[in-house]
Amino acid sequence: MLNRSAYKHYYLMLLPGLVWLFFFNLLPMYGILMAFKDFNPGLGILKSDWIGLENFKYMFELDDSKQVFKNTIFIAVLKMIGNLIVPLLFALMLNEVKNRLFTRSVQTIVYLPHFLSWVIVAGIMLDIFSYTGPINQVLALFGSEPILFFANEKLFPWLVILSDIWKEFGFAAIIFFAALTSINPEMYEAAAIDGASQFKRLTSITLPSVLPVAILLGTLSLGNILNAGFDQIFNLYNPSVYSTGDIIDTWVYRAGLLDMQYGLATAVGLLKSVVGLILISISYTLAYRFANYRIF
Amino acid sequence: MKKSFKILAISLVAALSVTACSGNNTGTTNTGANNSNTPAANNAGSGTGESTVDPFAKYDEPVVVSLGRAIDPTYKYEGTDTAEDNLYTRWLKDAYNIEIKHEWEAASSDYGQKVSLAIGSNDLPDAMLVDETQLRQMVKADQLADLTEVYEKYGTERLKQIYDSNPGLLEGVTFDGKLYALPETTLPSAPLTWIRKDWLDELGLPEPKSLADLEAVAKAFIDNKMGGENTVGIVATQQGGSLYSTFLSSGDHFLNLSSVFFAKDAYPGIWVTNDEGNAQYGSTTEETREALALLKDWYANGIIDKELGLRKSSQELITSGQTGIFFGPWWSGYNLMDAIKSDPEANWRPYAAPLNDAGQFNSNQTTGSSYIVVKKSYENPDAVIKMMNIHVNEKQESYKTAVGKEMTSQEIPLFLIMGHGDQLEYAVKTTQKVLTGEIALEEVDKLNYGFTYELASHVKNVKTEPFDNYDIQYWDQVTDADFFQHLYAHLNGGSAFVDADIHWVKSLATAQTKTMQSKWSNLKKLEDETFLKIIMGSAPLEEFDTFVEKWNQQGGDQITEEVNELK
Amino acid sequence: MIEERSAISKFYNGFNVFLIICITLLCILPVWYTLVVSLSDRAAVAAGEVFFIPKGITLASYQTIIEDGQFFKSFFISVQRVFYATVITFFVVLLMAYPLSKTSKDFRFRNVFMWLLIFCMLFNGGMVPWYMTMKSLGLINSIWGLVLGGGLPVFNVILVMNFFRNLPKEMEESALIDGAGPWRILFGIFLPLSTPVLATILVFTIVGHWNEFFQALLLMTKNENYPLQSYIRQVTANVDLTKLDADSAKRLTSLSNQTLNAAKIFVSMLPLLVIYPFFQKYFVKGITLGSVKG
Repeated sequence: MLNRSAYKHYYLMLLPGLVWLFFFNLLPMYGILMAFKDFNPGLGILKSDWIGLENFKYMFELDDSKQVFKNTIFIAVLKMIGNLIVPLLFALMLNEVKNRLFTRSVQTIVYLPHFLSWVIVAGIMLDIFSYTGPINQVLALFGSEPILFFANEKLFPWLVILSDIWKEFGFAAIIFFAALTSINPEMYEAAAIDGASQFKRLTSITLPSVLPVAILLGTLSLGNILNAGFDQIFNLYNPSVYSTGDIIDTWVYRAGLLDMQYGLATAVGLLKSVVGLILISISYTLAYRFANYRIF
Repeated sequence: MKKSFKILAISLVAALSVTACSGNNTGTTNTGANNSNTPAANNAGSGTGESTVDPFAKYDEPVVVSLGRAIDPTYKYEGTDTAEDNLYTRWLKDAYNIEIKHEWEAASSDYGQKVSLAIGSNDLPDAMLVDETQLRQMVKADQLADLTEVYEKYGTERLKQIYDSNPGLLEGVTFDGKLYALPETTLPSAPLTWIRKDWLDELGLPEPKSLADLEAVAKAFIDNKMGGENTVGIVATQQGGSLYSTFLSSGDHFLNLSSVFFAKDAYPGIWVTNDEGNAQYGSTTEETREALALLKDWYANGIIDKELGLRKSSQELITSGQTGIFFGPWWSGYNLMDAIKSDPEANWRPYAAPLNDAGQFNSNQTTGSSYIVVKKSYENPDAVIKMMNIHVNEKQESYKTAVGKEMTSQEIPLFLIMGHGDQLEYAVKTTQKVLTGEIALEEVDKLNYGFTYELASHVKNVKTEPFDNYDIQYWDQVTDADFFQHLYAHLNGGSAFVDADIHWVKSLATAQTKTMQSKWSNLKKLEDETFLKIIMGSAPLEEFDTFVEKWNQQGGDQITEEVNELK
Repeated sequence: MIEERSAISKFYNGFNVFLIICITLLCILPVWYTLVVSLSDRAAVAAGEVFFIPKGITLASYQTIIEDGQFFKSFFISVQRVFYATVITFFVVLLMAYPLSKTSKDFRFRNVFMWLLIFCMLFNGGMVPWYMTMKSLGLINSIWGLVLGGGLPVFNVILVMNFFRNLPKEMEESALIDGAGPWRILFGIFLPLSTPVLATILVFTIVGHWNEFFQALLLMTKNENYPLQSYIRQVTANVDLTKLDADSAKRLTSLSNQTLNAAKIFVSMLPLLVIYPFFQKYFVKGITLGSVKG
């Protein structure tokens, strides 16, 4: 075991990172104070009037805040679940294919949408799902009436969730695939010899092996739980889907636009961070207690 | 789109500046002399006793003005010039010892963000252009210099004249009796109905006047598939756009449904006086309810674009010839260039329609947008006034000979549209007269209306006979391509606007009141959502009544009271 | 490997591959679309006629790009930024991950530091204080501002740290017995074994810095100093119609040049598309996170 003398080396190693952290993460944090103040740029953050929790109260008093929070959570949670399950499924499918060249190419390609900005993707989506666009044309072949997808409150969140999954699944799929390919093939063979069906092999060998990865990815995405995707929704939504599509960030954006309300935006940001912290702590504790796995 | 509107404006003032100087020689005669007033000051420095200050004096020591600027990254400068260092700025230095520096630059799309950041961090350049919201923020934060005195002392006659001819402008930027900004002059603008006249002719239809006429025309277009299989009747709001202009943001009525509301005597989005003489928010009136009922009907019958509020780009429908009707201001002509390129027979003509039941053509008045502000601690606010003086007055001979290129807002710092209230009308009427030969080119008032002079000097290259017919086939698009768009917009669109007899309704409030600051975004959301749903059929018309109730409950009542006090 | 080669199995495999191919095509579509638009004739695109096949093929947009000096300047700034960021991130993350991978028995304050990092990952003070901090550090308009401004990349630290944690304990123990100190262990033993995870964070860093545009907009005062994505964004972003500036108005035609925008977007994606498969070899092996035994 290492003795105390190693400590000074540890501190030394941590030093560059901590310096970086201090200047660029910690210093700007005094800005969080804006959440509790009536910010006057002329006076600066420190000298502006203290108003305590008023920004938060205002946020909750607005009639729509319940709706906005509900939407945010609904969309964010489903995105999180989808962004875990779909890549995993895809990785499993890919794992069945033996051809290395094929799997490598596929992985490269499915990561592509991640590079595109939502401005582009949203524009394309609006075209494809338009009243006279390809999707509706296909529906017409089946005898259905054309659907105004983006005016439909019920469909809108799903369009948001599914398109996000489409855009981001490549990333997680690659990670899962890496985990899958690292599983020792001998384990499968042994299980097969023992008479385990393909399904049994899946549940006893494959899934447990990727569980830690899933937990890690899931936990880290919890920190983002209240970020339901401003860029995406901003470029896709319109007033007729506000009831299911308006999220915290788009709502704050409009509030900020009509009158630069820094205090409100900061208060909301703070709230999001706090919720994220709580959730991460919970899942860390759960993973440790039940799976004996330290996420970080 | 405000942008097209500004095309005229820029060219107008730019050319005004350029040509103004050519009409001037050594400075003894200057624009001031063209008015009935005796010039307050002129280049030669012979002050007439109004003050001992010469508004055009060159500074002894270089005065630096550090700006925040919006720039267009795709603009082509002369040689290696940049926005910070070009013909105009160099001339400013040589002639007046005013040195322009850019504290920061940003593209137009991000400029607002940068300004917001500057305001929030209290890290301001000496001067910059801001919008109304930002202006109010800065006033509240006490970040601005009081310009009252410097304006009085250093402003030239002409500058003051321009502001005087635009009543209410300076009052709008005076807070507590102090002048905190130099506002831009804006022309009121009304949405016209633009229709494919070639389609009208083909179907033998007359130009529409009432809403019923318009409906019939749209129906005919659709039934006869004039724009192909998926002909759209009336195209309007696209994704991210609004249904109508409001008292806070106008968008100059481009591609929205304002016209239909106006024809029903409804003025949603602005503050009007109701029958009892009190202020009322236009969107809560009976007339608006009726207009919504009509729109709901139209939508259900396919008259309006099914993808109202969803469409990625309404402009595309116009360019591709899929639609034959839209609503837009006089300068929409500029936006039709692509459409004409892809279909040279597309004959878009504007009409001062639809009229209300009494045969009147209504419109609300749009609000201004840009203001020059100076930061509080800047030592030389007079330099900024001087720059404005220079901007609106003539320039020296040396500049004219050195330059010879049209200066635009890219070269000219702190650019504002500064013109007499009647510049569009003058432009249209005069150009028409020069075309028919009624007046000669030399008779055009180049000094005050430089851009008109430009238009007039090119008009004969662009317009063919018959001179008073603005159908597309009577234009020469090739010979003078650059000016084709200007003349097309001015004569085709501009004349319809100028000749129209418009009944203007102005908003009682043009900025936010106290309660609005915390409640408006919520109220607006309620309004937008309800209206769009009613029109598109996902909510019944009765939803409007619920809306009015909720609106009043959630702060509307209080706000209405505040607006009443403004009256 | 023993496997049933029945017809059902073959069908299943074939169907699997088919599904995979469909999904993959779905992913490539928008990129393809962008490419198609960039090669098509402007008027056709504006008229909405272009979908999956270019219409009126022309290289005009690409020509314009080549002639545009600023495009390459910004390109180079991005390359610079990515380079510095990668080098710095590499070292800092590596150094940090080692002590943090120790248990709190071996390193008493390990948990304190770890939670500090998590806290910093979640909380931030907002745009204005960040800007003011950068200003007081003198990093406005500086490439180092771009490189360092995002703060410590905690996610990467966690990845590497997890990897270290799952390396076999025996390696470290035998080194200790040989009298090696932490530095020797880190650079002599862990580092060579960590190629996969390091390649991974390399990719994340490269992609992250290459695509980042927002901070640059706030930090850089002049157009010439913009990295590539910020520069591209200026010309492609949807302009807010109600707040439009006088200048842009006149250049109406160039603003709506969708083909040029598409070309710029496509060219800016190219370096990533080229680099990424190259790294993928390591990347794929890399993220086991030690979670797989055997």
